[in-house]
Amino acid sequence: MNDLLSIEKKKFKSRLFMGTSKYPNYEILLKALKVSGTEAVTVAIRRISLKKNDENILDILKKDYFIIPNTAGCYTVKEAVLTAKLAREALETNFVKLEVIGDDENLLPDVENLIPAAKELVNNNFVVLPYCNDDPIVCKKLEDIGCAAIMPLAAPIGTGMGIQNDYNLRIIVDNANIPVIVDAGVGTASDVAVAMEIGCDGVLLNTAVAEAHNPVMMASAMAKGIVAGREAFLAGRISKKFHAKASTTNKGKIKIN
Amino acid sequence: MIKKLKINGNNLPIKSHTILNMLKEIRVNSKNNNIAVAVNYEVVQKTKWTDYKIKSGDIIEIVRPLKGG
Repeated sequence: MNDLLSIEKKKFKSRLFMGTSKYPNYEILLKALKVSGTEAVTVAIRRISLKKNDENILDILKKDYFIIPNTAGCYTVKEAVLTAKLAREALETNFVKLEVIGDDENLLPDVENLIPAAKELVNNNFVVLPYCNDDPIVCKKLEDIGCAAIMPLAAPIGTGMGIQNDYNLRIIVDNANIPVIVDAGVGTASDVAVAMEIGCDGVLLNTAVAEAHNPVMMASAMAKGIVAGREAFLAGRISKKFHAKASTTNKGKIKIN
Repeated sequence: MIKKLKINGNNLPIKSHTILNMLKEIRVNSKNNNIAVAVNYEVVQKTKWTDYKIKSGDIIEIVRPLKGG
């Protein structure tokens, strides 16, 4: 089945995107990425150490994945835009997962700064994938200013609570003409499947796999979850009914008087 | 002439005149294709590292990719 996810001109067979942090070690990271089936991973951008040689994550990932830099930890438009521009220079990609957060406790997006940052980056020819709240109005505004996809959270980063507002996510999907990729707050494979069953186009996750008791096994579960959810969505589920409807006919049933 | 630069938040005395030589002076592997440099909050492309003249008071950010979510 040809069911590729397209973001700008880039096409993905896997609808699962993975972060690269919080793993116990690089060996487990690489195994988890492999079994997840992901083709795209996110990386952060930080200052080099002036005291020692830093390892290069790209050497570890060995060009096996499409790299999407993030602007994690940015609180202002200027920080996010500069980080994105540095990422473009360092990685030679126009893709950016845009994060502009409002506080360091909940790491929730700061809409007031996210939208102008997204607009500035779109105007500078970035392919902008904004991490945003599950707010249909905000998502529509981000689409209207030219973002390539929208990435509403399921729940705050790293909480593993799964989709907190199913209703809002359904509205977002219904309104969107660009891919909707759930980002943040996913906890387990069923969360991923639910996101896809709602009609989302993909899921980006990190903590749910990296900090699972068995990250490699969880990555495998996520791979199955994303496919199961997507196929269930495409198959078209039955509608929910209030009253029962028997699966077995009463015709020919024995009768005891 | 010694220039006083702020590099990645650290005040450092630097003798070099260009970004490329500054990187060598502070022992950063400039051949690493995955680093990027901003001077006074503007990215300076790698192709300009041999020409761009740094001056005292410049604020420099040197970054690279690392694991992230």
